[in-house]
Amino acid sequence: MTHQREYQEEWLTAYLDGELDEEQLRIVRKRLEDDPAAGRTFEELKEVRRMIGTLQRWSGSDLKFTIDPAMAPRLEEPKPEVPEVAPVIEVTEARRGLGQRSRPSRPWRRWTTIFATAACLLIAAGFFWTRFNDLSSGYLSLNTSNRAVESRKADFATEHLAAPQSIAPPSEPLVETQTAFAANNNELPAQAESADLARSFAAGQEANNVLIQQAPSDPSRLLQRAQNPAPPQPQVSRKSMLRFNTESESQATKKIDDLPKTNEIALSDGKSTAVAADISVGASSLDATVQTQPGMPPLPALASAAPSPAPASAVAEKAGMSASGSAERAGMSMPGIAAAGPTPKMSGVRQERALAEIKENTDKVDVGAKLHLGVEKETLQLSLSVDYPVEVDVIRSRAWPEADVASTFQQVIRYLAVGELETINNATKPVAIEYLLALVTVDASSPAHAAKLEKRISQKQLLRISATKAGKNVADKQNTPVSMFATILFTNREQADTILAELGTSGEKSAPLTPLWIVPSGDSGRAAGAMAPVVLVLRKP
Amino acid sequence: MNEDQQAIDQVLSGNLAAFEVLVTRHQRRLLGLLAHACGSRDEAEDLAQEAFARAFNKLHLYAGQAQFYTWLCRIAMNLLASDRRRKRLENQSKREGFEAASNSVGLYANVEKELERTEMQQCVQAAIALLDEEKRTVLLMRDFDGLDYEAIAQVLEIPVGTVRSRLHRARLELKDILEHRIGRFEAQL
Repeated sequence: MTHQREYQEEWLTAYLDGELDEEQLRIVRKRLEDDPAAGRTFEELKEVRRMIGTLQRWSGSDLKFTIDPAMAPRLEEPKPEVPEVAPVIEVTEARRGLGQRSRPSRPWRRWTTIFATAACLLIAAGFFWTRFNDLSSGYLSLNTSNRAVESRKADFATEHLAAPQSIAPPSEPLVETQTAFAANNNELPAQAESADLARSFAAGQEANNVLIQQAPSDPSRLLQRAQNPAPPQPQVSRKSMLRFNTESESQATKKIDDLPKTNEIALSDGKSTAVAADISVGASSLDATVQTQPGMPPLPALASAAPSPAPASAVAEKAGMSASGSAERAGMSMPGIAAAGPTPKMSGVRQERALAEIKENTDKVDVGAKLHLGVEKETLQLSLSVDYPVEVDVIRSRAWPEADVASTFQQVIRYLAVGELETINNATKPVAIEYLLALVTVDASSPAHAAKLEKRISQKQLLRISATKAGKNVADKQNTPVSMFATILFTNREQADTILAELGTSGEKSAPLTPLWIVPSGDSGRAAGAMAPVVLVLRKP
Repeated sequence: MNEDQQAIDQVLSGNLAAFEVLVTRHQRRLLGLLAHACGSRDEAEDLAQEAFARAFNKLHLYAGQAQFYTWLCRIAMNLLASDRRRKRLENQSKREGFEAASNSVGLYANVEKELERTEMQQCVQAAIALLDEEKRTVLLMRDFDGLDYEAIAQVLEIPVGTVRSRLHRARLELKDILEHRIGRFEAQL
């Protein structure tokens, strides 16, 4: 049975859009034939539609949408058959451990659940055992600044791990450290002599590595291993390697955009502190080198308050102090700058702030997002040191916007400028490209130098990060700046030598491992009181 | 399986980069719609960016019953509505823009052929801005973006009949605005 439907004016709109059924269509057509007013309305509606159709389409630029693995959707469920050895797990864990915030996948979740359950049991056991045995003669902490690292540290696959050769008793035990140790080592802390904690830790990492590689299919196997731990194997090497194997080159390539942006793994034994984030990418593996540096002060307690690092605007003003502090540490002199005084010690609070700021700003530049394997990869590694080394990986692709490069280097300069950081040269990436970062102040009395520098910049032989022109030379009718403070990125040392020589300076190369390369100003510039350019050498080994 | 679904499947199986296919395919269409819906290119970019980010994050919830663009559009429109609620924006600035556009059009008094296309666009855009949010949205989705009634109903979570009536009222109201505020429109029709 069909219902006779009455005409509705809005059917004209639907008629215009072809959204009527047969009966409505027939009724509307009849109406349009019989009612001139309906016909006019229909024409008006049609015209309105036409006019809206003339509205300008999007003529702006495309979105700059960056896929953030941390925002990844929940991935597909895994296949029912989970292999006993699951390299994918290693990759995922490794990547997460190396700084990824989130990368869920079903095998990962399954094994994480298993490991988490086992780890909780072990941590709890370790905690109580620690309490009962009052282990207070030493500690070893595994501090990670990344949440993902923090949550996954029990899952790190480690081939080797360095330990300091001598360990002084700490002022107070760190229960958290001990429990973490227990979780990693699969043995109770009391079983390890305090003086050998670091070595045991290394062994624990190896044991943990075995666990991950073998990927036990149920928690009982994990518990069984905990009850029968592998014997500690002392490691004395100062370099340790965290290796995370991927299944294949294609897998590594596919996930390359997940490379860590900033990663720190801090090891403290009460006497030495090492922070490392030297991560290299091979065709089928990710390697992270942990380099222990004895003699560095331990991570201090967050006790005393201190002023926060200087704002970015203070870079220029404080550049002298920066160079001075760094030069002192490097055992070098620096004419014209040394008067700025020694570098103040950083408090724990300040260190924390500096670390947080580094991480924050490194995230902003979104490093690693466009990294490519092979010869296309350009790696710039900056190792920044507070009172203890803090390394920041900056991975730059050729497609990296100049503005991002600029902001990165400005950030580097900022930390150098406040005199709290220094560079160390420990780049180990086989494809690392040599970079020179230079702070150059052109002599006020030498507009010719400024002109030469400008020419180089215009010829793209230099990448100018920033340049501040101060004042004008009254005598110079061409309005050449009387001074120019410029931060410049050279692409190789030869180029830097040439250009700096052209600027009237001479190179004074430091020892190979000395990171700060100070190029004093030339005679003419020094005579005029010009500030020497400061060149930070970041070069491949 | 359409190309959108293929890309979605790839993303959900771990190839996150495949999402770029979806961004590339739909971004300009969405940006155009949002630009007219909110009246600001910058805001449109922000909304589109956020819409894609949310779509990426919630992609596992995409059931495939609607077109991906429809689903994306729904996210974007919800964001727009939330943004509007949050900012409590009324059309004050748009009225000013409309007045400016009207004045501009008035200079060419009844000589439509002399109107530059961009001026006509500005005029229509300004008139659209005077519609309330509901009418403007449905009008743009249909007449600018080309979504059918079913898709619009899915995006706005309203019945198809409501889409039809709302669209009809929007078109009539827009015609009235153009007639009364410009005066030229009636002659043109």
